[in-house]
Amino acid sequence: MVRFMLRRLLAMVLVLLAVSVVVFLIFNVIPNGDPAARMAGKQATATQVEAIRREWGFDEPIWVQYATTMRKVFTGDLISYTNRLDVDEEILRGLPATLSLAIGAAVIWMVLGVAFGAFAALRAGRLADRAISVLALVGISVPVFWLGALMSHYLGFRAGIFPSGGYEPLTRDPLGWAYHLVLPWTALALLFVGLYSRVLRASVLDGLRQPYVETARAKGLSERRVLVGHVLKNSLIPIVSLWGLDFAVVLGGGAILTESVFDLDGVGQFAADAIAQLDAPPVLAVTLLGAFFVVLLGAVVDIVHAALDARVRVT
Amino acid sequence: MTAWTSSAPPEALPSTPQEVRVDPVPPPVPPVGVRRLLRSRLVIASAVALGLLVAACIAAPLWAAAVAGTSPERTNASPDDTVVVDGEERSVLADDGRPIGPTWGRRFFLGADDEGRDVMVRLLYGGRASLAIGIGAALLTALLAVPLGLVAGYLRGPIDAVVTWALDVIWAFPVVLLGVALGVALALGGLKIGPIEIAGGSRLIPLLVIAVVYIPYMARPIRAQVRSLAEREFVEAARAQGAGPVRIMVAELLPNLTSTIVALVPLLMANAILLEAALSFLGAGVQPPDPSLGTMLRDGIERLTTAPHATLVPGLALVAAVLSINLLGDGVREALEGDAVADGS
Repeated sequence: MVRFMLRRLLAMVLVLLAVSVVVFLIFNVIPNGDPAARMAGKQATATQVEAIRREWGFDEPIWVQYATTMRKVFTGDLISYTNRLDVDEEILRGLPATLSLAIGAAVIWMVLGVAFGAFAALRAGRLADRAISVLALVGISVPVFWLGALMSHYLGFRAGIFPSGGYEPLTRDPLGWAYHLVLPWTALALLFVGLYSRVLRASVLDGLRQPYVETARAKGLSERRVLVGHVLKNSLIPIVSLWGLDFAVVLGGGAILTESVFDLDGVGQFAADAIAQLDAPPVLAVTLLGAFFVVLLGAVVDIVHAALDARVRVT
Repeated sequence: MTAWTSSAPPEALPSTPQEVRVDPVPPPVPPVGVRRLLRSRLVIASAVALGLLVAACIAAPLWAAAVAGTSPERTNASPDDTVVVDGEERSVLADDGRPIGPTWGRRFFLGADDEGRDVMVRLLYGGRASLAIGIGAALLTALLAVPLGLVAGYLRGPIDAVVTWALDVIWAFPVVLLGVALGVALALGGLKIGPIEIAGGSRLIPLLVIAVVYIPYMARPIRAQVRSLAEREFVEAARAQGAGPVRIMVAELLPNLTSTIVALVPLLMANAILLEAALSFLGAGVQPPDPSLGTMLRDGIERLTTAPHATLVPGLALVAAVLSINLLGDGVREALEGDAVADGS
């Protein structure tokens, strides 16, 4: 087990290293991407550009620049090229909004996804099941930014039932916090509710065909006990794996669209703004953070999976 | 390589809106598959809907030239630009800049956008771009992912380790973030690989970006299935007859992957169309003034107050296209794998 964990850790580090190199290269091979020229502005003379280039070390070989940048990522000295703000501070500033969005939406989509999925499986083949199946497909076919924009405009701006956007810190006003997040949570969760209910339905139906269900029935357990205590418990395993991974993606800036439509000013929006200005350091930092969450939760999911499912063995 | 990584459920892919069930031992394709597919009215309806959408997009130049008499890029922003509605002459853009709504006539059938462009014409051309990018990207993903999965799953060893690691790297990126970063960078600089050169504003760039981003979502399940297929007797038999690895991969393994590929491709198409819209919405996909459903939404959403039709029309078209592909894909999957219900449980 220890050897396995160490190997897994090494693989994680290698993946993150490659991610950082890829992002760094993307921003260094852009022909119009010379950061010194953009920082100096349009009217700058060649000597001014040259001075900035030397001051920020853009004249160094590319691997030296990479090493310097990566050192700064870990020491917290990373500075944005365009507005010269401290990148780590900006990420920390955006993190509460992103965390609130991710956690709330993840809870909603898990609960609703499991409820709909289990219900559909119980009613398999009947009208309710068909209806849920089609609704789930509708849910995964609607672009989140379109739905979000419509919700923000019609329920927020026009009807005034909810705030049309913005983030209210939890510490300042817990009720306002939830009130501001209702629409973003709903918009983001909808996609996953559709997906999860489908996965759970398939998994429950699959479980019902397993021999252990016959055994449980033969023992004289009620149909409800069989379903909840045996089938549903096992069917949750793939859902929990999926949940961990999706949560990581949303946490690591994957909710860019929801964040920008509702103007939540979170980590994803910070990254989107930075990309639009070709500002490499914030993009590098946010992408690494996102990749870190994905890789870390991927490993956690595997370990939890092994703990829940005796058939998965660590070798 | 541990047995462990391969045992991770293939459906455990983030942001892939749908489960993909890859049985370790694929059930033989039932001969009733096609008949079962045709029996579902929903599947037929979605196939018809998708066919109509595609036909409408192909006919885009016809509508533009013969009916509306304009092009998708042509603006009508001056006060002299008018259109006759119910015998009454009205400006395309009102004095306050408010674009005209649907006229249900030949010109501006679905209204104008905030630059006075014909929404119907842009919708047809934009739908064309979005469908072409989505379908093209999904096919390119399949073209890249299937050989990767085959080679990694069958040859194992160092090749497998390298391919798996590369897939892990792409997979670790948040999808939209990677897509946006690549899209913005390439839109500015264009791309040059050997003799192939793609200009910065080209639609091939979002297509390429989307195809690359989704490779792991297809290559991983293929690799897992190849690994389990490789243990089966028919592969053993082929090897005993002296078949080389290439022959085994192409002639023995590939035919057995058909149902997995057929099940995954519609899913990829639906997701690719959605990702194109998202990238264009964030300014990293199709570049203006070229229309796509994503760029139309980007223009429209800022104008929800005065011109809701400019947001509702492309959004509904997008949902219709993605939903019909998803319904169709679902029907195909059910026909191939057999639904648990249909098999009786």
